[in-house]
Amino acid sequence: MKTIDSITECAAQIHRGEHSEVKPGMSVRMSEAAAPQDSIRQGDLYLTVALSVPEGYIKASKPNVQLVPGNTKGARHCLDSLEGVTMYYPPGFETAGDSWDAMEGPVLELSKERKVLHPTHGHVTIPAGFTVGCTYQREWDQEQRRERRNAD
Amino acid sequence: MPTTINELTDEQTARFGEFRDKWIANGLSTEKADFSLASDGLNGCYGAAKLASPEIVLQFASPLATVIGGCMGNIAFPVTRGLAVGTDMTSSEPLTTTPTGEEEPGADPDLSVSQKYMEMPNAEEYEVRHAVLDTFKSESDFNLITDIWNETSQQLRSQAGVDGAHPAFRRLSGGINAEVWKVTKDRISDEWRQYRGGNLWSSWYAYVTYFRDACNWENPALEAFAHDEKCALNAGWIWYSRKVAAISDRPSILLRNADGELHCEDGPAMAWRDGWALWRVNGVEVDEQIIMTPETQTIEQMHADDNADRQSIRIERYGWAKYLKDSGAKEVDKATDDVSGCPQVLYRTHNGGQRLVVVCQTGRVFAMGVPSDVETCEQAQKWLAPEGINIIAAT
Repeated sequence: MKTIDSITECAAQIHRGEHSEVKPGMSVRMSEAAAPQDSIRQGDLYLTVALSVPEGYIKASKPNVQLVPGNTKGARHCLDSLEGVTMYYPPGFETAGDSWDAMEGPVLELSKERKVLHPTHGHVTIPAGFTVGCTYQREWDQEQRRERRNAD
Repeated sequence: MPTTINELTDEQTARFGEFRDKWIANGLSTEKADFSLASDGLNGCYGAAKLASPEIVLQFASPLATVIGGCMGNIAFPVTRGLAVGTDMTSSEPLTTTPTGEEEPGADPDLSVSQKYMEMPNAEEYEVRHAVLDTFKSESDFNLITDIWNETSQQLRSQAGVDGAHPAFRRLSGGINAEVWKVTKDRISDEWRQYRGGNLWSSWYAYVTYFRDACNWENPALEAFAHDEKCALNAGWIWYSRKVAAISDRPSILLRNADGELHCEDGPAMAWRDGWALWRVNGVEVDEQIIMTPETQTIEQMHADDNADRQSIRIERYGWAKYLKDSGAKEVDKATDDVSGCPQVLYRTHNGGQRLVVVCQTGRVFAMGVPSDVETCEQAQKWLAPEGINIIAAT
């Protein structure tokens, strides 16, 4: 069997709920013992433990439960509530809105336990007391497209 | 007397949004055109240019039909006019006759109505203009051309009061043949630019009306501009010539992404009521096949596409896993994902690009692009993830 066939078969197993390790929509909890740089990946969103809010980040004037810009289903990585959350945005994040295209996203200081929800991925529970940074997976196609546009 | 504005007051600046919102809504409107009000505006434009109103004003559903139908109407007009006034049109009367007409005193023969104002198209209008040009420069769908001709001839007959039973008109309306289309096409290549963008040029109208209405700017040209403004508020493209004009409806569909680019992944991004449509993904020009039946694309089609953005969209919609298999892409490395235990493989494609194919925790397959100097799955994962992190779980 070709590797590509083994990959599609593995995907089909997960989809059918027959995979031994991976179940679709499986929830994950950040361990209280997690250390800085430990990260949980929810699809293309990385939730990474930070020591503190990075320099230059600005306290959000209008914090949004949605952590990934965009109006697609895939972008709906959302906090279950803003209660107990102090949110910080990288400079320019709020004004860019859905057209934000850098890898860095919001940083959350949690005084209460919160869940990050998603329509297809499992929920990620983050215990109180953590500072967590959101970063986005790099997108080669998007970077190439941007380069081509800049070259035009 | 024209007035000069050197600076804006706070009150004037505060009104930016009012004009922006009004004209953006007009530019994105998918309501049916008000052809009657647009005709009033159009006649006003001819008057402002010191030209007699056109004898025929055609109405079409799309900009494409408007420029093609307008040119066809212009070519056929002398024939229909001859029929209407009882002239015996012989069978040798060519459809390529250049329309002649008496000009009003003071008219500038070198200045077309459409050139009276500065052009400043919106992004959507730019797309429409290029689509129109591409359509009639390419080997056009002859059924489409025939439909436009039938619509044009019917309106000509109705407006010129021509006896539809007249043999010459029957010949004229009997359908457009390849020879006539060839000549028409040549004329269109010259004359299609005689249009104004109507509601799709809203950015320009926002600019002028702001200074006129919020800043009390005065200029003699504003009287003429008001007629053009009326056209833009009530219709899409308008095509001008001396005796024949043509007005287009607004689009029936206009969809954009968050960046304002034309975008739709399950239908046309822009469409008109006669079925003419623009297909776009994040502003990139695609076609109906790529959107509606991407699985029918061939590997040759995908590889031959010289637009890198569109090629990427083609493959994405065909399905990366299927594409890599069908195109015989070279396997560079394979590994097992540390977190999920699922297989992953790094492929090199026909053009040297690389894809890391992984299984997502939701049971989907993703093929993520990585730089061509990546040699292993591990390096590819590092490139994709934020630097220095330690992934402890995934979902």
